[in-house]
This record gives sequence, structure tokens and C-alpha cells, in this order.
Amino acid sequence: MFKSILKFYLIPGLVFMAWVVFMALPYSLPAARVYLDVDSPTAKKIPIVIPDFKNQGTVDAFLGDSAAVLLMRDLDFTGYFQMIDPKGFLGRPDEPGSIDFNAWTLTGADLLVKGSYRLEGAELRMEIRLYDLLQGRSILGKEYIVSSRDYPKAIHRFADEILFLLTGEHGPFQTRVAFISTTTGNKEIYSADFDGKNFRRLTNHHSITLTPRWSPRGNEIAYTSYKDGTPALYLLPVPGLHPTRVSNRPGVNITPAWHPDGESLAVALNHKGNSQILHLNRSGTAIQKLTQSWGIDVSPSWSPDGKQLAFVSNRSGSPQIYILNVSTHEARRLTFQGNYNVGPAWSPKGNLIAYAGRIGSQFQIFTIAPSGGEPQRLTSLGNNESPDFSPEGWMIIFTSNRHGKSAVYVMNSNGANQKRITFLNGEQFSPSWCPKKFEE
Amino acid sequence: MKAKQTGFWVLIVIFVVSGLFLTSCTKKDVKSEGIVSTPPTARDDEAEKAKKRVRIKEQEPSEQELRERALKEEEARRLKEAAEKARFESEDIYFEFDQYILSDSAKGNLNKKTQWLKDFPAAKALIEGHCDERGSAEYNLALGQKRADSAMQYLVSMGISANRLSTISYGKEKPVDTGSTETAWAKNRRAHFVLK
Repeated sequence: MFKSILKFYLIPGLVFMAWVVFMALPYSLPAARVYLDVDSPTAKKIPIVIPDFKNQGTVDAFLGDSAAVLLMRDLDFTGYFQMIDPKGFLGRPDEPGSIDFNAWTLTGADLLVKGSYRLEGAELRMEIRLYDLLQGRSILGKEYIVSSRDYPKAIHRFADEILFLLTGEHGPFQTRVAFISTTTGNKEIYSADFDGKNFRRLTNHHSITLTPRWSPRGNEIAYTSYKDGTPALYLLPVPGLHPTRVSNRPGVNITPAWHPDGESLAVALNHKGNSQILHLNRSGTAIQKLTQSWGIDVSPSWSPDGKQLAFVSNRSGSPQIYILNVSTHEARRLTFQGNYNVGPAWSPKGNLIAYAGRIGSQFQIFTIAPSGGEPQRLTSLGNNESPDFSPEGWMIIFTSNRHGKSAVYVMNSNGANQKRITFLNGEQFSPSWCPKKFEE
Repeated sequence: MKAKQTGFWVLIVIFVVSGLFLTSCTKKDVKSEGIVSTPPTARDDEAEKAKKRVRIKEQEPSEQELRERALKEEEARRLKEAAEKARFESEDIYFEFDQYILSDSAKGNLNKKTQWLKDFPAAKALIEGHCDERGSAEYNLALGQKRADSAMQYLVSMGISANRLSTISYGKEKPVDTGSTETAWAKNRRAHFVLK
């Protein structure tokens, strides 16, 4: 169902044009023209103006939000752009092929997006261009032909093109997230677009259902549910209705973490009084024992190369994050500040581990280098838990109760640009960001 | 035989009544300390008399009365057992924050449960491990399991067969008190017993 019915047909000529523009950029732009350094926490936002797209046909094509509003919302979501009100444009209306760059520059914008569209039967033909106002030239151009109701997908795709051009990073605009919500009165799994929109319920277990974790290929969710009485591990195909139970060992079968190979999982099990993290294949058979202690080992997260595993253990007396070398089975302690650090998530680039650490009576989100060192605190309002990285690693999804009940929020991985994305009834917990784009 | 007995009781009654009469007549004349205790004696006689009257009745309990008495005893026994069973299920054992070691009072409670399990060798129990709302949901699932395991291991060490016991962790998913106070948290950090 998530697999898009929509098909993108790029007109060969425009593909060529976009290709030329893209390839020509390093040469045509001054060498010093760096649009955005995403790693700089103090990076200045890029002012961008996006006037309404021009209808070149006779029928209005947009059923919901206008294309310009959607594009602004996507770019604003990243926290990297400052949206300039197009009403500030005082020049004469642009004619095709002639854009009053000076007048647009006076709005305060550095970048301009202009789009036009024409509805032809059920097909929407949309052309979108990005202009560098300081250079007075187009730096990106695309034409999309989509079924009319799927125009938001073309907009998300163009937003991603803009972001990649300016930052070298892909955006989350074509991804989905999963989380637990108590909307029905029971904890069930929901999925939604990256921005919390288009949410839907994926389970109907009428039980306690916990910790959805999206597989690397995005076609399955691993989770724990009490639906058959005990906390067992299940795999749910996405899209799909019927989960498979893969582990129902005595005790708990909790906190699944997909190995980067997408074929196996690390799972916390509690067997005969011993807490341990096992490496299970996708049918639930044990591949190897990863950790074992007389206390509690739980909440694994693999490094992107699968050679290390972050996890929580109370072997020192309180819950702390440890890192296991999978081949030597040696574990070293990573966190030393605070007496309750849990829920590690390894970033897709491998350079950061996000976790929740308790300060006073509340949890806050931190990041720390896998080699150790000083943790960076990212949140301060309310209770903040359950961090997970976006596919490209520059955003973090988490839960917060800063506005009352627990809901899902996102922020940039440096803590900037924190915003709430779920507004459902009940409370939301345990978000997981799908590592795969749904358009592919 | 019956007539003879009745005659005997009539004699006794006459004797007691006349004795009463005599006592009440002489009472005001008596001043010595030794005789101050006379009225109690009289009351004792009264009680004795009542007892005897009861005894007369008791000597003829009907089948019906016997049955009722047996039923009452049975009912009392059942109530007591039900109360003990209810106590087995309702008396949780409690833990400190982020701990799963058993306190002395938890062990005391478990000792009572051990005795009950020995008295009722057919009974099987499920031990639920629970946590307070502080801490992460995931870690608390593991912690709840350790709490249930601690209780089970103790019962096994006291001689209860492991195959009569099973465990489940609910982490912080099923608090008995949804408040966010020290009192609520203390109530929620528990192992709860359910008979199967």
C-alpha cells in the first residue's frame, strides 16, 4: 500500500537539463559559495521565497494544500530555511523566461522556487525550478508527471532535490515513521509520514504492544506484543495484516534491533533468570549469544557495519550504555554521567549514539561519540525519551511530554529545530524511523 | 431413668432457690469480711443453673442440628481457606527503586506463600513482575522479569516445585496506582501472585 502507485516520468530533455545544471554547479558557482553547513549548530538559515505555482491549464489541480505550501512546509521542517513571504515581492509579474531577479532579491530571499502545472486528464504535469537570486540563474529544474492526487509525492521529491543540492544530505520527505499510540485505549502500532501526517494504525491486537522497529529494507516491523498472553516477538510485513511470531521463549522477548543485513535481529531475552541479548535469525533461531550477565542486558542497537552493538546493562549497579565488540565479546562502558542512561540508537553514519539519560526526575536526550567523551545534551523541556535517527542521520525522532501527554517530536541531531509531529488522541511512545524511502 | 433424673433436677432447683432465699435474708445481718463474697456465689449458682438448663437441651440434639453444625463448621473452614487464598493473591511483595533483591518483609510474605503452597499442593501460581512509572519502558520490562524471577527462585529454594510456578513481566504497563507520588510508585514496584 505504501509502495507508490505513482510513477515519475522525467522528460528526457529536462533530465538532461537538470543533469547539466547539477554537474555544472561546482564550476559555474564561485568556489566559496557554500549554501549550508549542516554540521554547524549556528548555521544561518537560508532565506527562500516560494510563490504559488502557476496554473497553466484551465482546471485547478490541487485538492488539498497548494504545491507551494507543501514545499514550504517540507523545507521548513528541516530547520535550515527561513520562509520569506512572497507578498513582499513588488516587481512586475514574471513572464516565462524572464524573471525580475532584482525585485525578488528585495524580498530578502537568496533562493526562489517557481513552479507551474497543467492538469491533463488524470495526469498532472508539474515543472519546478530553483533559482539562486544572487547569481540570477536557475540551479535546479525538474518536470514531474504524476497522477493528480499524488502531487504531494512530487513535491516531497523536489524538496529532497533542493536539500541534497544545498547540503549534500537527503531529506526525510519520502520516509515514514512508526510509533506506539494509545488512541484506541490499547497500545497499538501506527505509521505516519515523516511529519506525522497520513497516519494509520497497523495493528489491532487489543493488548500491550511495544517497541516497533522498522527493518532496514522498510518492508517489515519487528515488535513485542502480549497479544498471545506473554511478551513475545513478532514480525509484521508492511504493508500487511498478519504478523509472524518469531520468538516466544520463557520470560521476555523484547527490544528487537535489526542487524544492518536486514536478515537478523538482536533481542533481549530473559531465560532461567539470566538476562541476555541474543542474535536471532528472522525465523527466531539463535545465531549466537551476544551478551550475558546476572543482571539486566536490554535495548541493543547495532553499529552500521554490524561489528559493534550498543546496549543497556545494569552490571555496574545502575542502567548504563555499553558497547560490545561482537567478534571478541568484550563490552566497554560508554556512559559515566548520571545514574540512569538507556535506549541507545546508533546513527546511520556511525559517528553518534543517541540515548535518554535521567536528570532529576526526568529523561533528556543526549548524543555521545561511540568512542566516548563528553555527551551533548539536546533537550531540556519536559521528559524526553526513545531517540532514533532519520535515515540520513541528521534528524532525531523522540518522545516528549513537554506539552502534556507523551507525543512524538523530531529535531536536528544537534538539538536544533525541535517540533511536535503527532497530534493524535492518547499518548505516543517508542518511535522508529523507517531507514528506507517509500518511493523506491 | 428419665423420671429419676427429672426428680434429681427438681431437688437441685429447690435447694438452690431456698439457698438464694436464705442468703438474701441473712445478707443484711452479716458483717464479717468472709461473707462479703456471698452475692457472687449466688450469681455463680444462677449461671450454673442456666448452664444446666442448656445442658438439658443439649442432650437431645436432632439430626437436623447436627447437620447444620457440620455445615457451619464446613462454611467457616471454607471462608478461612478462601481468605487465605485471597491473601495469597492480594498480598504483593514490594521492591526498592530499580532493585530486584528481596527485602526481609518480602521474604516474610514469601514464607507465608510457601506455607500456603505446601498446604495446597495442587495449586499453581503465576508471578507477575511490575515496576513504577519511572525509568524506561524497555528497561522496566527486563526489571519486572527479574523481580518475578527473584520471587520464584525464593519459593523454589523453600521447597516449592518449579513446575508449579511461572513468571511474566509487565514492566510499567500495569500500575495498580496511576499516581505520580512516592506512595504510588512504592505500590507499583511489586511482584503479584495469581493462582492458575
